[in-house]
Amino acid sequence: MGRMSFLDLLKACKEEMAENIKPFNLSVLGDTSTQQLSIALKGYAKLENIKLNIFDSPYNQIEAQLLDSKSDCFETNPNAILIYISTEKLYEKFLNLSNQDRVKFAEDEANRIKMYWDRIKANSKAKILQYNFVYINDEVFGSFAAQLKESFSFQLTKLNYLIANLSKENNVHVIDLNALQSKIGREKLFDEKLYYIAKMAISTNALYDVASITIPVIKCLIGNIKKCVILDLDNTLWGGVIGDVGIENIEIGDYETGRAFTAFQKYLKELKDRGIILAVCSKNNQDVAMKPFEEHPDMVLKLDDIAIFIANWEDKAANIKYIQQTLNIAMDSIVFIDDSEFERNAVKALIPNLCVPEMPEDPALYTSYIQSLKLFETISYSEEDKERTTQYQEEFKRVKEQSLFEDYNAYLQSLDMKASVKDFDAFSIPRIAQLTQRSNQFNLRTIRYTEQDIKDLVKDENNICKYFTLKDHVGDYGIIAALIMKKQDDALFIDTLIMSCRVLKRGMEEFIFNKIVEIAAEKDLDIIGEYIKTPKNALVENLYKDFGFEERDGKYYLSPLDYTKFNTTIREEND
Amino acid sequence: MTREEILNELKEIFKEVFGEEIPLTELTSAKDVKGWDSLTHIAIISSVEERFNMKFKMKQVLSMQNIGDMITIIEGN
Repeated sequence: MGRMSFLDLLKACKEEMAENIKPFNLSVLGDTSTQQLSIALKGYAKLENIKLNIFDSPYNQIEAQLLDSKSDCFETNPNAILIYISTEKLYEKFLNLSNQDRVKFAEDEANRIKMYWDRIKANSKAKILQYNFVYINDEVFGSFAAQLKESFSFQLTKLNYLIANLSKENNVHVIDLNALQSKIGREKLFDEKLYYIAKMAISTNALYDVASITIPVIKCLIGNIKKCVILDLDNTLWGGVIGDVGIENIEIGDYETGRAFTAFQKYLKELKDRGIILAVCSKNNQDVAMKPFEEHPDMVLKLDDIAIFIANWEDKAANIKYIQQTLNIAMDSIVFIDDSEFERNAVKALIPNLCVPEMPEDPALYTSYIQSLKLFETISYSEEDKERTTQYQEEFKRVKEQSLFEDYNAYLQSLDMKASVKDFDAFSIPRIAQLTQRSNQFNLRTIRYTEQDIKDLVKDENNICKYFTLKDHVGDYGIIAALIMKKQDDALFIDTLIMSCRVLKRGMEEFIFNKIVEIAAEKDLDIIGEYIKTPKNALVENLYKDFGFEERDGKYYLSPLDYTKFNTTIREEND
Repeated sequence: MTREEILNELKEIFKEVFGEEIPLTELTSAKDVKGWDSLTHIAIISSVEERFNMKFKMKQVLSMQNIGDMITIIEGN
C-alpha cells in the first residue's frame, strides 16, 4: 500500500472483518497516551488482512497491569504484549536523579524492563514486543555528551545496547523505533505540543510509519513471512536491456548508474545468504540472460545464488506459477520485483495474492524502497537458512532424475534415502522452532513455538520430542520433520507433527508414523492425534485417517496393536 | 484560499474523522458535534496540519472556540 494518513487507518479500524479470520490479540502498554497508536496498529493490520484485537491499557499503567496477574492485560488472553516506554518519559525521570544515579541509569532501567518481561512470562504465554528508545541529545553538553557517563545521551545509547543484548535469551522481539526516527526524522516523529497537551510521544502524522514497522513483526508471529524473491533482469538487476545493448554495455559495477544496481544485487545477496530464495523470471533468451551471471566480472549475484532460473518469452504469470509450484511454497510468500509497470500490472491481474512492489522509476532508489517495505522481518534464524538455496537446487536435480523413471517407486528406490530420528538438542532447536513458525501445509495443529518454548518443552519429562533428518544420494535435506508428543493419562497426545513440504510423498510420512507407533508400543500407550483446520493445511485433513486412526469426538485414536507397518523405501540410519 | 474554501476542506477532514458528513459552519464548536472529544480533537488538528502544511501553536490548540477560530489560524499561516 502507498503511504496513508492517520485518518485512513482510523477509517480502516472501524471496518468489520470477515468472521472466519482468526484474530490476533494484542495488549498495548505504554507510559504515554497510546490510544491513537492502537488505532493506527489496528487499522494498518486490517489493511494487511490481519484481525487485531487490541487491549489498549489506560495511561501509564505498565506496572499496574504487569504486577497484577489478573489485570485486563492478561485476562484478555493476548497473543503478544507490546511495551512502549518512551524516551521522553525516561528523560523526565532522568532529570530528577542525582549524578550518582544518573551514571547507573541505563543499568537500572534495563533491570526494570527485564522485570517487566519476567512478569509477563510468569503470567502469560504472550510473545513480548518492545520498542527500543529513540535517540535524542538534550544539548546540555552537545556532542561532548559522548564522553560523559552522566549525560542522558550516553545512558540512552547504553540502554538500547543493553536491551538488545538481553533480547535473545529473554525471547523478546525488539522493534527498532530508533531506526524509524532516523529515517523519517525527529520533527516528523515527535510533536512537542501533542506531548505537552496530551502526553502523546508519537505525532499523529507519524503513526502510519510506526505501524509500518510494527505490523510486519506481528505478521511473522502469525507465520506470514516472505520466503522467495522472483527477479526480473533488464533494468532491475542491471541497467539496460541486455538483448539490445549486449553484455559489455549493461550498467553494473563501480561506475555511476551501475553502482545503484550493484548495491541492489548486494542487498539481494544478503537476503539469499540469510535464507530467502532468489529466482529469476526474465523475458530473454536463456543463454543471453545467463551470460552475465557466468561471465560478467561486476555481477554480484552468480548462478549459484539463483535457485530457479527462468528466461523465455512466455507470459510471466505462467512462469511465476511454475516457480511457485516447483518450490512448493504459498504464493503469498513470494515477492516479484520488476521495473516494468506493464509487467507488474499484468502479473498482478492474474495472481492477486502475489506481493508486487511498485518499484520507483529511479534505480538509485530500488534498494532503500524495498528495505522500507519491511518484507523480510523474521523471528528466527538458523544454520539451515544459509543452505536454503542449495536445498532447492538439489531438489531440481531430483526432479530431473525422476523424469528418467517410468515407475515412481523405482525412482524413490534409486534415491537411496536414509532418515534419522533424534532427540531435540541445542543445535537442532533453532531449526525446529523455525519449522513450527514457518510450516503451514503439513502442520496438524499449527502451534508456533519460539526457541525458548521448545527448550521448555524439552525440560518437561512428560514430553517426547523427536526430530527427523533425511538425506539421499543427491544431497542432504537436513531437519525436515518435528514430532512432540505429550503423555496424557495412558496415551500419547501428538501436540506437534510437522513435516517440510520439500519431502512430501516420498515415504517420509510412512517412516514417521511407523516411528510414532514404535515409540508408543515401547511404552505400551495408545496414540491420540488432533487436526486443527486452517486455510493452509487442507493437505493433512485426512492424514490420521489414512494411517488407520479412528475418529471420535473430533480427535483421532490409534492403538499400536491395530497398526500394520507401512512400506517405505527410506531406511533408518543410526549414527 | 478563501475562508469558504478552507471550510470545505475542513468538512472533508471531519467526514473522514467522524465517518459521516458533519454540517460545519464558522460557529460550530466541539459541543455541537457528537464524539468531538480531546482524542478526536488531536486527530483533527494533526490532519489539518498535514492537509494545509502548517503547524498550530500549542496555545491555539487549546484556545480555539469554534471552526471560525480554526479557519483564522489556518489563514494566518
